Amino acid sequence: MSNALGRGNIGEAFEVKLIEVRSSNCVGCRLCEMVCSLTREHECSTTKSRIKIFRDEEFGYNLISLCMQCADAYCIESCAYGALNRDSKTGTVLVDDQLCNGCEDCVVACPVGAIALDKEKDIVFKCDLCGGEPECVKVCSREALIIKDTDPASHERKSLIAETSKALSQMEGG
Amino acid sequence: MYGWAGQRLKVYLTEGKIVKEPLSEEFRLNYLGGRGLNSKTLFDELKPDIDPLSPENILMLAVGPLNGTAAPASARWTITAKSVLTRGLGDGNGGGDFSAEMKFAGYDQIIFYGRSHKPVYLWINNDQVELRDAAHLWGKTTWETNHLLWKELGDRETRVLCIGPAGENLVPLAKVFANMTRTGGKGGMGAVMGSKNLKAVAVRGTGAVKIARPAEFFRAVKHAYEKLMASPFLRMFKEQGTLFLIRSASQWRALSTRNAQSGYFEGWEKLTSEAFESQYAVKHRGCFACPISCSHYYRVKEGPYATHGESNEYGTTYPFASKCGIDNLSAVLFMNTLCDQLGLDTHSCGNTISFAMDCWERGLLTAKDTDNLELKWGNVDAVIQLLPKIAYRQGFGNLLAEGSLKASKQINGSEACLRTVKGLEVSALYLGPVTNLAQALAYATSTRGADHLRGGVMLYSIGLSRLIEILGGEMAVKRMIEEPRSTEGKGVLVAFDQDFSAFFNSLEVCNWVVGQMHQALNPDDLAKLLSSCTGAEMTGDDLMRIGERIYNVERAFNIREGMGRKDDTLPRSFFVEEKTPWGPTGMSEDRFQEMLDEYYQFRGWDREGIPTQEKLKELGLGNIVEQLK
Repeated sequence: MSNALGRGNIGEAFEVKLIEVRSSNCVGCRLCEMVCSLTREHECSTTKSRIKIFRDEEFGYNLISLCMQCADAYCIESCAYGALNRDSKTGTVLVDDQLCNGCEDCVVACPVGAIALDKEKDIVFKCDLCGGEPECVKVCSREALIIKDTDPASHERKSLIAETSKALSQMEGG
Repeated sequence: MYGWAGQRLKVYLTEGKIVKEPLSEEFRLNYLGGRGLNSKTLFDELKPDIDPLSPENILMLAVGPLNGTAAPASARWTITAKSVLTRGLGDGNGGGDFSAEMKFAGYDQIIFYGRSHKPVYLWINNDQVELRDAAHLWGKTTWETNHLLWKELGDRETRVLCIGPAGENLVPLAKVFANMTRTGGKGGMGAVMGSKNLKAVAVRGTGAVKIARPAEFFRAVKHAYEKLMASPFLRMFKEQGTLFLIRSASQWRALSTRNAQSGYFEGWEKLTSEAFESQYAVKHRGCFACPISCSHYYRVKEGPYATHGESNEYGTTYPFASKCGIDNLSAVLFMNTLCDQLGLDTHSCGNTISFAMDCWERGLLTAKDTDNLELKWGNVDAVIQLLPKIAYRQGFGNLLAEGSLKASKQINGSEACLRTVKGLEVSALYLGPVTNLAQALAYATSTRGADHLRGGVMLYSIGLSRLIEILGGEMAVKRMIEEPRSTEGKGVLVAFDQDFSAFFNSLEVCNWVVGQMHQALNPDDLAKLLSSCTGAEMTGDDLMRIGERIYNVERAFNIREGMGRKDDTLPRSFFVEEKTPWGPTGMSEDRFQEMLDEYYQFRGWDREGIPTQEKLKELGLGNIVEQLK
């Protein structure tokens, strides 16, 4: 780890533990969504989950929508209130509940649809990697979610984000 | 309210009226949800002796307290009505993730009364519920219906449960379908839905299932998850799915072949999970919250049987394959997808066609009866041509559409070809040389007709430690299980297994993740999940007692419909004792009756199989005693 990055984006290469999503392995069981909402919101709900699975019914092309902790984080740039910041130690993008005003600019900016608005609290929520021990990964029995040392600025990571983003927009388009 | 949504919908189709009402504590604590809730409602609300296809029948869809939570494999739903095939209790249990969506929308049960004067579908968008015109959907396949509704409702995350043309045409072999391919409702639930002019239920739910003690529930979830992942059986099952049974059943000489004339099919190696994996499987598919994800997507890329679909199970493969003498797996996959689209039950449909083939081979049917289809064993194309004929009731298909029992009444001398109990086709296993007699007893006494899922003694469940406790010693239990040809103790074994399945079906947890035989979840594990989820304190024993209550209510329903000891029997072919190279098969009727006596006695039923007053009172069902006289 080099310098403290504050709210900015990642400049130089370093490795942190991030979740790698492998949508082609996903079987669409959505246990990750249930465990996420249970541990973070103390209830079970797909809309309160930080991870979201889109199931295609006819062919089984499932897609995983989850914060990729992008090196060039559009969400951080989009936030006029400074409510989104990167944790300098973990590389994780976090929401400051005190600063968020629920404008949803980051929701629109996110290329993989991984930020959502909690309508009751009027603030956004997103994956924070459960502080380094993500529960969703532990219950994924098909290795569609894997935690591994990753360079967020690497070419592989960026192309994974681009691919996921493209697939999600195609799915939403029908 | 924790666990349960706490609300049920009553949809009066004749009047076009929808009423929401709370789900009472009496129902929640005594019947849990799903199957139990439906069975009790059927007993309470249905008038005896009505025609199953009349507006007087009621159709119910229910989920349980664990659906829509992190409890592993809590994905099932149950559809219930009076059965068209058995004229007794009819229900079916399906997977996918429809059940979770229904919970997130806020409902435990939907009850349909009457008959709509025109085709409609029910649209549930959280608390907004309305009946909508379905003229444009009528006549469409299940898959077309899904696509049309997604387009109309503008949300691909909407989950659809619907019938195909078979249900619309009141075919008793029709089921209902959720998630395009996940099906339930043997005995004609699809036809009952069709008789109500109800094409589909579309649900979108964005709410939450509240959890009473989240941290404790999470620990119970983790415990259950780890237990399932550690089971060697489930590790195998996770890869192979139910098709592993083709190999096992072949080894046990229990793969029902050519209308159950034998338990060995010479072409079995072309049908195994290995053959499927290497040629047609695309990827796995999991039902909601299930870490096992045993189902597969498949694709036959080219050739006459090019197709794609999901969920080709053992229960599809053997009826169309070995049972019809067919060893072409790609053709079987084609038939599976076709049945899913037309809305047909692969079990009953394959078994009915197998019955017709048997009749043909014995010369009881000729080309002029069958619209010139040659129903010889192994004639793939004849089967494929028959499926739409059955769904649309065309020509010879119209006769088979009624199921094998009714069809046999029109075919002189065909009674010997029948493989039904209470009018429902025998599913899953061949009653053969190694058949545990407990399995035979389970088929005979199942509340919905011949059925491998209520007391599937050979396959799963068995609350072993409880049995040992009750019977006072491990040896007695071992003898019951390991001596499959002995009648001793089988009644106890079956009753236990039936109660077990009655409550886990009511929790709507999948039958593949329960049972001690393969080191999966036992009643205590399920009780921990349920208690921490709902806050209702229950032990494994409490759940077994609920299972017994449910089973007795179902039995009482069938008794009130005129069933009794005479109906607790097996196909005639089973009562012939034969020696085969693999061992003796069949049993005498006398030995069967002994087993039945023991079962009734352990159940607390009289000699006619009617629950006694004492038993009903003990189960808190004293108020239904009068109705059984």
